Amino acid sequence: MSETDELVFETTLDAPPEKVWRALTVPEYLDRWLDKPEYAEVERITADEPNSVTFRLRERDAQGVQTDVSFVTFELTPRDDGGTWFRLTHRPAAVPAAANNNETQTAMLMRAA
Amino acid sequence: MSETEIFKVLSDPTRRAILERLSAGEATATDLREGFAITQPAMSQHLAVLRGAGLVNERREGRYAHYSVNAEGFAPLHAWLARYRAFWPSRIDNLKDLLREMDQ
Repeated sequence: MSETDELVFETTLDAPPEKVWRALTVPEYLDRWLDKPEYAEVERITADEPNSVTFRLRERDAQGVQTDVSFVTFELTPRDDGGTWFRLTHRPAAVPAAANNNETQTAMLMRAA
Repeated sequence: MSETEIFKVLSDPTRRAILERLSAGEATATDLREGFAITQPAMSQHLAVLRGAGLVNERREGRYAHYSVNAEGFAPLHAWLARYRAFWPSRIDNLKDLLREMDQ
């Protein structure tokens, strides 16, 4: 995971993409593993079955005021062993995807801070 | 300033480039304009936004203003990143558990 303003997690999963897809998109399954915080609302916004799915995450403070909007994208790639290469990207809404291309610049900026 | 507002300020590539320069050390607005195809008023505007967000400090010396990175201003952004850096690994573990329990 790099020190930028988006978070990336990658791992291998011992299940084919189709099965991982169901875990990500069937609401009962999603609720079980995501165990989302009370202050957050999760809404699916784009889906390309069974390759990638993006959710919008809205967070609210104790007064119910929206404090933060971010996007979470899951990318699934089939592996030769029948498993799945899983990549999770979590990006604040204010940061356009294109602005993240220059990772070096962002990394420097974060180090400066 | 919330992390969302900070992210919004940082969504501008010129402002990111200004911060990158300032990470090397203090500079005046004139120093900062070198290599940028932007006017003095535009640079002043960007510096005003960065100062307003608490990301940049201004130090006056005679007729020159010197700008530097204000590390404390990045705290909400670091807090946001830290929160989700802790959140996701446990959720990925949950997902792995669930996949083991699910029917094929």
